[in-house]
Amino acid sequence: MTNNNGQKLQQAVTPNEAVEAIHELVDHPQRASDDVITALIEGLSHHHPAVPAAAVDGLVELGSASVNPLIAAFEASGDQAVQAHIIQALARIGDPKALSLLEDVIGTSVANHCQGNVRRVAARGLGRIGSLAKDTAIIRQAIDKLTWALLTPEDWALRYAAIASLQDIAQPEVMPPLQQALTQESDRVVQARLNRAIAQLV
Amino acid sequence: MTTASPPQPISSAETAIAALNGDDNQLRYYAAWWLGKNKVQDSWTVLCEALQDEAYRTQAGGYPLRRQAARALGELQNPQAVPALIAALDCPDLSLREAIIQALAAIGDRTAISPLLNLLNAEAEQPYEALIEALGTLEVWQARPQIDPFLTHPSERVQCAAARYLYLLTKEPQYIERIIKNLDHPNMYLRWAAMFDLGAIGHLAAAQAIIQAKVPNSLKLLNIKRMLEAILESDPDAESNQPDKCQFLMDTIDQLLIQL
Repeated sequence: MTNNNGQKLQQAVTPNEAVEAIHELVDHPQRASDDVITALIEGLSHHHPAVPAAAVDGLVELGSASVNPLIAAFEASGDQAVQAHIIQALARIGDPKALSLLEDVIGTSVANHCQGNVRRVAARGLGRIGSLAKDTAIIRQAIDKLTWALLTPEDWALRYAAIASLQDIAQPEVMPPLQQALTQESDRVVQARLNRAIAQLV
Repeated sequence: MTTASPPQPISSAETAIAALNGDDNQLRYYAAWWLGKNKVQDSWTVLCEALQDEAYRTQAGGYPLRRQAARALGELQNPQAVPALIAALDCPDLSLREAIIQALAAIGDRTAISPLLNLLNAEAEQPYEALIEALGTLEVWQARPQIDPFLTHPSERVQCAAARYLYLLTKEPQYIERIIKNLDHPNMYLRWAAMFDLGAIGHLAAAQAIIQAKVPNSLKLLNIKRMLEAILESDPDAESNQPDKCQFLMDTIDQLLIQL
Protein backbone atom coordinates (compact mmCIF):
# COMPACT_ATOMS: atom_id res chain seq x y z
CA MET A 1 0.00 0.00 0.00
CA THR A 2 2.98 2.25 -0.43
CA ASN A 3 3.52 4.49 -3.36
CA ASN A 4 -0.20 4.77 -4.08
CA ASN A 5 -0.76 8.25 -5.37
CA GLY A 6 -3.69 7.35 -7.53
CA GLN A 7 -2.21 4.66 -9.75
CA LYS A 8 -4.08 1.98 -7.88
CA LEU A 9 -7.34 3.78 -8.49
CA GLN A 10 -6.54 4.24 -12.14
CA GLN A 11 -5.70 0.56 -12.49
CA ALA A 12 -8.75 -0.69 -10.55
CA VAL A 13 -10.82 -3.14 -12.55
CA THR A 14 -13.91 -3.67 -10.42
CA PRO A 15 -15.94 -1.01 -8.61
CA ASN A 16 -14.94 -2.63 -5.30
CA GLU A 17 -11.26 -2.26 -6.11
CA ALA A 18 -11.83 1.35 -7.08
CA VAL A 19 -13.68 2.16 -3.85
CA GLU A 20 -10.97 0.40 -1.84
CA ALA A 21 -8.26 2.38 -3.61
CA ILE A 22 -10.11 5.59 -2.82
CA HIS A 23 -10.31 4.68 0.85
CA GLU A 24 -6.57 4.03 0.92
CA LEU A 25 -5.85 7.38 -0.69
CA VAL A 26 -7.97 9.27 1.78
CA ASP A 27 -6.86 7.40 4.88
CA HIS A 28 -3.49 9.14 4.57
CA PRO A 29 -4.32 12.82 4.27
CA GLN A 30 -0.64 13.81 4.23
CA ARG A 31 -0.71 12.45 0.70
CA ALA A 32 -3.17 15.13 -0.39
CA SER A 33 -0.99 15.73 -3.37
CA ASP A 34 -2.19 16.94 -6.73
CA ASP A 35 -1.92 13.37 -7.99
CA VAL A 36 -4.33 12.08 -5.37
CA ILE A 37 -6.84 14.84 -6.05
CA THR A 38 -6.57 14.28 -9.79
CA ALA A 39 -7.20 10.56 -9.33
CA LEU A 40 -10.22 11.21 -7.12
CA ILE A 41 -11.66 13.67 -9.62
CA GLU A 42 -11.22 11.06 -12.35
CA GLY A 43 -13.13 8.65 -10.11
CA LEU A 44 -16.15 10.96 -10.37
CA SER A 45 -16.79 9.76 -13.91
CA HIS A 46 -16.69 6.04 -13.06
CA HIS A 47 -19.72 4.19 -14.43
CA HIS A 48 -20.53 2.38 -11.16
CA PRO A 49 -22.38 4.76 -8.79
CA ALA A 50 -20.49 3.55 -5.70
CA VAL A 51 -17.20 4.92 -7.08
CA PRO A 52 -18.19 8.58 -7.63
CA ALA A 53 -19.91 8.52 -4.23
CA ALA A 54 -16.70 7.31 -2.56
CA ALA A 55 -14.64 9.81 -4.55
CA VAL A 56 -16.89 12.67 -3.37
CA ASP A 57 -16.43 11.51 0.23
CA GLY A 58 -12.67 11.40 -0.35
CA LEU A 59 -12.54 14.88 -1.84
CA VAL A 60 -14.62 16.24 1.05
CA GLU A 61 -12.20 14.57 3.46
CA LEU A 62 -9.27 16.33 1.84
CA GLY A 63 -11.13 19.62 2.25
CA SER A 64 -9.84 22.96 0.99
CA ALA A 65 -7.00 21.41 -1.03
CA SER A 66 -9.63 19.92 -3.36
CA VAL A 67 -11.46 23.14 -4.04
CA ASN A 68 -9.47 24.77 -6.83
CA PRO A 69 -8.97 21.50 -8.75
CA LEU A 70 -12.71 20.78 -8.42
CA ILE A 71 -13.63 24.20 -9.76
CA ALA A 72 -11.24 23.73 -12.68
CA ALA A 73 -12.68 20.28 -13.34
CA PHE A 74 -16.21 21.70 -13.34
CA GLU A 75 -15.24 24.23 -16.01
CA ALA A 76 -13.49 21.56 -18.07
CA SER A 77 -16.15 18.87 -17.87
CA GLY A 78 -19.14 18.74 -20.17
CA ASP A 79 -20.64 15.77 -18.34
CA GLN A 80 -23.63 16.75 -16.22
CA ALA A 81 -23.29 13.78 -13.89
CA VAL A 82 -19.65 14.62 -13.15
CA GLN A 83 -20.52 18.27 -12.65
CA ALA A 84 -23.25 17.27 -10.23
CA HIS A 85 -20.78 15.29 -8.13
CA ILE A 86 -18.35 18.21 -8.18
CA ILE A 87 -21.05 20.56 -6.88
CA GLN A 88 -21.94 18.09 -4.16
CA ALA A 89 -18.29 17.88 -3.05
CA LEU A 90 -17.91 21.66 -3.08
CA ALA A 91 -21.18 22.12 -1.18
CA ARG A 92 -20.06 19.76 1.55
CA ILE A 93 -16.58 21.27 1.83
CA GLY A 94 -18.03 24.78 2.26
CA ASP A 95 -14.93 26.70 1.18
CA PRO A 96 -15.63 30.32 0.18
CA LYS A 97 -13.57 29.91 -3.01
CA ALA A 98 -16.54 27.94 -4.38
CA LEU A 99 -19.03 30.69 -3.59
CA SER A 100 -19.36 32.20 -7.04
CA LEU A 101 -19.58 28.81 -8.79
CA LEU A 102 -22.35 27.68 -6.45
CA GLU A 103 -24.17 30.97 -6.98
CA ASP A 104 -23.88 30.43 -10.70
CA VAL A 105 -25.29 26.90 -10.43
CA ILE A 106 -28.30 28.09 -8.44
CA GLY A 107 -28.86 30.37 -11.41
CA THR A 108 -31.28 33.17 -11.96
CA SER A 109 -34.77 32.80 -13.39
CA VAL A 110 -34.02 29.29 -14.58
CA ALA A 111 -31.04 27.11 -13.83
CA ASN A 112 -28.12 28.15 -15.99
CA HIS A 113 -26.96 24.68 -16.79
CA CYS A 114 -27.82 22.35 -13.95
CA GLN A 115 -30.79 20.24 -12.99
CA GLY A 116 -33.04 21.01 -10.05
CA ASN A 117 -31.40 18.60 -7.65
CA VAL A 118 -27.97 20.15 -8.29
CA ARG A 119 -29.31 23.66 -7.68
CA ARG A 120 -30.64 22.50 -4.30
CA VAL A 121 -27.32 20.96 -3.35
CA ALA A 122 -25.61 24.23 -4.31
CA ALA A 123 -28.06 26.14 -2.12
CA ARG A 124 -27.21 23.87 0.80
CA GLY A 125 -23.54 24.55 0.02
CA LEU A 126 -24.05 28.31 0.38
CA GLY A 127 -25.42 27.59 3.86
CA ARG A 128 -22.26 25.72 4.75
CA ILE A 129 -20.00 28.43 3.31
CA GLY A 130 -21.98 31.14 5.10
CA SER A 131 -21.89 29.33 8.41
CA LEU A 132 -18.13 28.59 8.27
CA ALA A 133 -16.94 31.94 6.90
CA LYS A 134 -15.52 34.72 9.09
CA ASP A 135 -15.51 37.32 6.32
CA THR A 136 -18.72 39.35 6.53
CA ALA A 137 -18.66 40.12 2.79
CA ILE A 138 -18.75 36.39 2.02
CA ILE A 139 -21.56 35.81 4.52
CA ARG A 140 -23.51 38.71 3.07
CA GLN A 141 -23.09 37.39 -0.48
CA ALA A 142 -24.32 33.92 0.53
CA ILE A 143 -27.32 35.39 2.35
CA ASP A 144 -28.21 37.54 -0.67
CA LYS A 145 -28.26 34.59 -3.06
CA LEU A 146 -30.18 32.42 -0.60
CA THR A 147 -32.71 35.22 -0.10
CA TRP A 148 -33.30 35.21 -3.82
CA ALA A 149 -33.59 31.40 -3.83
CA LEU A 150 -36.08 31.62 -0.98
CA LEU A 151 -38.37 34.21 -2.53
CA THR A 152 -38.33 33.58 -6.27
CA PRO A 153 -38.07 30.06 -7.71
CA GLU A 154 -40.98 27.74 -8.44
CA ASP A 155 -39.15 24.67 -7.13
CA TRP A 156 -40.37 24.09 -3.57
CA ALA A 157 -37.24 22.11 -2.74
CA LEU A 158 -34.95 24.98 -3.75
CA ARG A 159 -36.90 27.35 -1.49
CA TYR A 160 -36.75 24.73 1.26
CA ALA A 161 -32.99 24.27 0.80
CA ALA A 162 -32.55 28.05 1.07
CA ILE A 163 -34.40 28.07 4.40
CA ALA A 164 -32.27 25.28 5.86
CA SER A 165 -29.15 27.13 4.72
CA LEU A 166 -30.24 30.50 6.09
CA GLN A 167 -30.92 28.77 9.41
CA ASP A 168 -27.39 27.30 9.31
CA ILE A 169 -25.90 30.77 8.76
CA ALA A 170 -27.89 32.05 11.76
CA GLN A 171 -26.97 35.74 11.43
CA PRO A 172 -29.45 38.50 12.33
CA GLU A 173 -29.67 39.39 8.62
CA VAL A 174 -31.40 36.11 7.77
CA MET A 175 -34.54 36.95 9.74
CA PRO A 176 -36.11 39.59 7.46
CA PRO A 177 -36.07 37.35 4.36
CA LEU A 178 -37.46 34.42 6.36
CA GLN A 179 -40.25 36.62 7.73
CA GLN A 180 -40.99 37.96 4.28
CA ALA A 181 -41.14 34.46 2.83
CA LEU A 182 -43.70 33.49 5.45
CA THR A 183 -46.10 36.09 4.04
CA GLN A 184 -45.92 34.70 0.49
CA GLU A 185 -45.19 30.96 0.84
CA SER A 186 -48.02 28.73 -0.37
CA ASP A 187 -46.49 25.27 0.09
CA ARG A 188 -47.53 23.78 3.42
CA VAL A 189 -44.28 21.91 4.00
CA VAL A 190 -42.10 24.91 3.14
CA GLN A 191 -44.24 27.01 5.49
CA ALA A 192 -43.66 24.52 8.27
CA ARG A 193 -39.91 24.63 7.64
CA LEU A 194 -39.99 28.44 7.74
CA ASN A 195 -41.81 28.36 11.09
CA ARG A 196 -39.22 26.00 12.45
CA ALA A 197 -36.26 28.06 11.22
CA ILE A 198 -37.72 31.26 12.66
CA ALA A 199 -38.47 29.56 15.99
CA GLN A 200 -34.87 28.32 16.18
CA LEU A 201 -33.40 31.73 15.41
CA VAL A 202 -35.40 34.05 17.67
CA MET B 1 -51.64 22.54 -40.14
CA THR B 2 -48.02 21.41 -40.07
CA THR B 3 -46.93 18.14 -38.59
CA ALA B 4 -43.38 19.25 -37.80
CA SER B 5 -44.04 20.06 -34.17
CA PRO B 6 -47.20 19.87 -32.11
CA PRO B 7 -48.94 23.24 -32.10
CA GLN B 8 -49.52 24.63 -28.63
CA PRO B 9 -51.84 27.57 -29.10
CA ILE B 10 -53.57 26.79 -25.81
CA SER B 11 -52.77 29.61 -23.45
CA SER B 12 -56.03 30.28 -21.61
CA ALA B 13 -59.08 28.50 -20.27
CA GLU B 14 -61.12 29.78 -23.23
CA THR B 15 -58.71 28.50 -25.88
CA ALA B 16 -58.42 25.16 -24.07
CA ILE B 17 -62.18 24.66 -23.87
CA ALA B 18 -62.51 25.65 -27.53
CA ALA B 19 -59.78 23.16 -28.47
CA LEU B 20 -61.48 20.41 -26.48
CA ASN B 21 -64.64 21.01 -28.51
CA GLY B 22 -62.66 21.07 -31.76
CA ASP B 23 -61.87 18.23 -34.15
CA ASP B 24 -58.09 17.82 -33.80
CA ASN B 25 -57.84 14.81 -31.50
CA GLN B 26 -54.23 15.42 -30.47
CA LEU B 27 -55.10 18.97 -29.55
CA ARG B 28 -58.26 17.88 -27.70
CA TYR B 29 -56.14 15.47 -25.66
CA TYR B 30 -53.67 18.21 -24.85
CA ALA B 31 -56.54 20.57 -23.98
CA ALA B 32 -57.99 18.07 -21.50
CA TRP B 33 -54.58 17.71 -19.87
CA TRP B 34 -54.13 21.50 -19.78
CA LEU B 35 -57.52 22.08 -18.15
CA GLY B 36 -56.69 19.58 -15.41
CA LYS B 37 -53.17 20.81 -14.90
CA ASN B 38 -54.35 24.38 -14.53
CA LYS B 39 -57.38 23.34 -12.49
CA VAL B 40 -59.86 25.29 -14.63
CA GLN B 41 -62.95 24.71 -12.51
CA ASP B 42 -65.38 25.99 -15.14
CA SER B 43 -64.33 23.21 -17.49
CA TRP B 44 -65.90 20.38 -15.51
CA THR B 45 -68.99 20.23 -17.73
CA VAL B 46 -67.05 19.98 -21.01
CA LEU B 47 -64.73 17.42 -19.45
CA CYS B 48 -67.77 15.38 -18.38
CA GLU B 49 -69.03 15.51 -21.98
CA ALA B 50 -65.61 14.27 -23.14
CA LEU B 51 -66.14 11.18 -20.97
CA GLN B 52 -68.63 10.05 -23.64
CA ASP B 53 -66.47 11.02 -26.63
CA GLU B 54 -66.62 8.64 -29.60
CA ALA B 55 -64.38 10.54 -32.03
CA TYR B 56 -61.00 9.56 -30.59
CA ARG B 57 -60.44 5.79 -30.45
CA THR B 58 -57.31 3.72 -30.77
CA GLN B 59 -57.15 0.67 -33.00
CA ALA B 60 -57.29 -1.52 -29.90
CA GLY B 61 -60.57 0.14 -28.93
CA GLY B 62 -59.23 2.45 -26.20
CA TYR B 63 -60.53 5.95 -25.56
CA PRO B 64 -57.53 8.25 -24.96
CA LEU B 65 -59.56 11.44 -24.68
CA ARG B 66 -61.99 9.91 -22.19
CA ARG B 67 -59.07 8.77 -20.04
CA GLN B 68 -57.47 12.19 -20.09
CA ALA B 69 -60.79 13.86 -19.27
CA ALA B 70 -61.18 11.54 -16.27
CA ARG B 71 -57.68 12.42 -15.03
CA ALA B 72 -58.42 16.12 -15.46
CA LEU B 73 -61.63 15.75 -13.45
CA GLY B 74 -59.56 14.11 -10.73
CA GLU B 75 -57.37 17.21 -10.72
CA LEU B 76 -60.39 19.51 -10.47
CA GLN B 77 -61.83 17.50 -7.55
CA ASN B 78 -65.28 18.85 -8.26
CA PRO B 79 -67.95 16.56 -6.70
CA GLN B 80 -70.44 17.67 -9.37
CA ALA B 81 -68.51 15.51 -11.85
CA VAL B 82 -69.06 12.34 -9.83
CA PRO B 83 -72.32 11.15 -11.51
CA ALA B 84 -70.77 11.51 -14.98
CA LEU B 85 -67.64 9.64 -13.86
CA ILE B 86 -69.71 6.83 -12.39
CA ALA B 87 -71.76 6.60 -15.59
CA ALA B 88 -68.56 6.28 -17.63
CA LEU B 89 -67.42 3.25 -15.58
CA ASP B 90 -69.52 1.04 -17.85
CA CYS B 91 -67.01 1.42 -20.67
CA PRO B 92 -64.99 -1.75 -21.40
CA ASP B 93 -61.73 0.27 -21.71
CA LEU B 94 -59.86 -0.85 -18.56
CA SER B 95 -57.41 2.06 -18.68
CA LEU B 96 -60.35 4.43 -18.71
CA ARG B 97 -61.90 2.62 -15.77
CA GLU B 98 -58.59 2.93 -13.90
CA ALA B 99 -58.41 6.68 -14.57
CA ILE B 100 -62.03 7.10 -13.41
CA ILE B 101 -61.42 5.14 -10.22
CA GLN B 102 -58.39 7.29 -9.43
CA ALA B 103 -60.40 10.45 -10.11
CA LEU B 104 -63.22 9.27 -7.85
CA ALA B 105 -60.70 8.56 -5.08
CA ALA B 106 -59.17 12.03 -5.53
CA ILE B 107 -62.58 13.69 -5.37
CA GLY B 108 -63.47 11.70 -2.27
CA ASP B 109 -67.23 11.82 -2.71
CA ARG B 110 -68.92 8.96 -0.89
CA THR B 111 -71.53 8.35 -3.58
CA ALA B 112 -68.72 6.61 -5.47
CA ILE B 113 -68.48 3.87 -2.86
CA SER B 114 -71.32 1.65 -4.02
CA PRO B 115 -70.29 1.60 -7.72
CA LEU B 116 -66.71 0.83 -6.65
CA LEU B 117 -67.91 -2.06 -4.50
CA ASN B 118 -69.90 -3.33 -7.49
CA LEU B 119 -66.67 -3.42 -9.50
CA LEU B 120 -64.91 -5.28 -6.71
CA ASN B 121 -67.68 -7.88 -6.64
CA ALA B 122 -67.96 -8.20 -10.41
CA GLU B 123 -66.85 -11.35 -12.20
CA ALA B 124 -64.85 -9.57 -14.88
CA GLU B 125 -61.22 -8.42 -14.54
CA GLN B 126 -60.83 -4.93 -13.05
CA PRO B 127 -57.97 -2.46 -12.55
CA TYR B 128 -57.53 -3.89 -9.06
CA GLU B 129 -54.55 -1.83 -7.93
CA ALA B 130 -56.42 1.44 -8.47
CA LEU B 131 -59.67 -0.01 -7.16
CA ILE B 132 -58.20 -1.26 -3.88
CA GLU B 133 -56.25 1.96 -3.42
CA ALA B 134 -59.45 3.95 -3.91
CA LEU B 135 -61.32 1.82 -1.39
CA GLY B 136 -58.51 2.44 1.10
CA THR B 137 -58.47 6.17 0.43
CA LEU B 138 -62.25 6.35 0.82
CA GLU B 139 -62.01 4.20 3.99
CA VAL B 140 -64.50 1.62 2.76
CA TRP B 141 -63.67 -0.82 5.51
CA GLN B 142 -66.59 -3.16 4.89
CA ALA B 143 -64.73 -4.40 1.80
CA ARG B 144 -62.09 -6.12 3.91
CA PRO B 145 -63.34 -9.71 3.34
CA GLN B 146 -63.11 -9.23 -0.43
CA ILE B 147 -59.71 -7.50 -0.23
CA ASP B 148 -57.91 -10.00 2.03
CA PRO B 149 -57.45 -12.55 -0.80
CA PHE B 150 -55.65 -9.95 -2.96
CA LEU B 151 -52.60 -10.32 -0.67
CA THR B 152 -51.80 -13.39 -2.78
CA HIS B 153 -52.79 -11.91 -6.14
CA PRO B 154 -50.31 -12.74 -8.95
CA SER B 155 -49.51 -9.03 -9.41
CA GLU B 156 -47.19 -7.70 -6.71
CA ARG B 157 -48.54 -4.22 -7.22
CA VAL B 158 -52.02 -5.46 -6.42
CA GLN B 159 -50.62 -7.26 -3.37
CA CYS B 160 -49.09 -3.97 -2.21
CA ALA B 161 -52.36 -2.12 -2.75
CA ALA B 162 -54.11 -4.71 -0.59
CA ALA B 163 -51.40 -4.40 2.07
CA ARG B 164 -51.81 -0.63 2.05
CA TYR B 165 -55.59 -0.94 2.49
CA LEU B 166 -55.17 -3.42 5.34
CA TYR B 167 -52.52 -1.30 7.03
CA LEU B 168 -54.69 1.81 6.88
CA LEU B 169 -57.51 -0.21 8.43
CA THR B 170 -55.65 -2.21 11.09
CA LYS B 171 -52.34 -0.34 11.65
CA GLU B 172 -50.74 -3.78 11.99
CA PRO B 173 -47.00 -3.73 11.12
CA GLN B 174 -47.18 -6.97 9.14
CA TYR B 175 -48.91 -5.10 6.32
CA ILE B 176 -46.42 -2.26 6.18
CA GLU B 177 -43.66 -4.86 6.15
CA ARG B 178 -45.26 -6.39 3.08
CA ILE B 179 -44.83 -3.07 1.26
CA ILE B 180 -41.34 -2.48 2.64
CA LYS B 181 -40.30 -5.83 1.16
CA ASN B 182 -40.95 -4.44 -2.30
CA LEU B 183 -38.58 -1.55 -1.70
CA ASP B 184 -35.79 -4.06 -2.38
CA HIS B 185 -37.49 -5.57 -5.38
CA PRO B 186 -35.23 -5.98 -8.44
CA ASN B 187 -37.91 -4.39 -10.61
CA MET B 188 -37.46 -0.64 -10.43
CA TYR B 189 -41.11 0.10 -11.17
CA LEU B 190 -42.24 -2.09 -8.30
CA ARG B 191 -39.84 -0.26 -5.99
CA TRP B 192 -41.33 3.04 -7.09
CA ALA B 193 -44.88 1.77 -6.71
CA ALA B 194 -44.04 0.60 -3.19
CA MET B 195 -42.59 4.04 -2.42
CA PHE B 196 -45.80 5.72 -3.39
CA ASP B 197 -47.81 3.28 -1.30
CA LEU B 198 -45.68 4.14 1.71
CA GLY B 199 -45.73 7.87 0.98
CA ALA B 200 -49.51 7.72 1.10
CA ILE B 201 -49.55 5.92 4.42
CA GLY B 202 -47.76 8.54 6.47
CA HIS B 203 -46.13 6.55 9.23
CA LEU B 204 -42.64 6.88 10.66
CA ALA B 205 -41.80 3.23 10.04
CA ALA B 206 -42.65 3.92 6.41
CA ALA B 207 -40.40 6.99 6.46
CA GLN B 208 -37.48 4.90 7.69
CA ALA B 209 -38.13 2.38 4.93
CA ILE B 210 -38.12 5.12 2.31
CA ILE B 211 -34.85 6.57 3.60
CA GLN B 212 -33.16 3.16 3.31
CA ALA B 213 -34.69 2.28 -0.06
CA LYS B 214 -32.61 1.75 -3.20
CA VAL B 215 -34.43 4.37 -5.24
CA PRO B 216 -33.40 7.77 -6.59
CA ASN B 217 -33.03 10.53 -4.07
CA SER B 218 -35.65 12.67 -5.81
CA LEU B 219 -38.29 9.99 -5.15
CA LYS B 220 -37.34 9.75 -1.50
CA LEU B 221 -37.65 13.52 -1.24
CA LEU B 222 -41.06 13.53 -2.89
CA ASN B 223 -42.42 10.80 -0.67
CA ILE B 224 -41.09 12.14 2.61
CA LYS B 225 -42.64 15.46 1.65
CA ARG B 226 -45.97 13.73 0.92
CA MET B 227 -45.89 12.23 4.39
CA LEU B 228 -45.25 15.55 6.06
CA GLU B 229 -48.02 17.11 3.96
CA ALA B 230 -50.42 14.37 5.01
CA ILE B 231 -49.61 15.01 8.68
CA LEU B 232 -49.94 18.79 8.31
CA GLU B 233 -53.23 18.46 6.43
CA SER B 234 -54.82 16.09 8.90
CA ASP B 235 -53.72 18.19 11.88
CA PRO B 236 -53.28 21.94 11.29
CA ASP B 237 -51.46 22.21 14.63
CA ALA B 238 -49.22 19.23 13.94
CA GLU B 239 -46.10 21.35 14.44
CA SER B 240 -46.97 21.81 18.12
CA ASN B 241 -49.00 18.62 18.63
CA GLN B 242 -46.57 16.20 16.95
CA PRO B 243 -43.24 18.08 17.08
CA ASP B 244 -41.03 14.96 17.04
CA LYS B 245 -42.64 13.52 13.96
CA CYS B 246 -42.51 16.83 12.08
CA GLN B 247 -38.94 17.47 13.12
CA PHE B 248 -37.83 14.01 12.09
CA LEU B 249 -39.34 14.42 8.63
CA MET B 250 -37.90 17.92 8.20
CA ASP B 251 -34.44 16.77 9.31
CA THR B 252 -34.73 14.01 6.74
CA ILE B 253 -35.60 16.48 3.98
CA ASP B 254 -32.72 18.75 5.09
CA GLN B 255 -30.33 15.81 4.66
CA LEU B 256 -31.79 14.63 1.35
CA LEU B 257 -31.35 18.09 -0.13
CA ILE B 258 -27.58 17.97 0.14
CA GLN B 259 -27.46 14.68 -1.75
CA LEU B 260 -27.92 14.21 -5.47
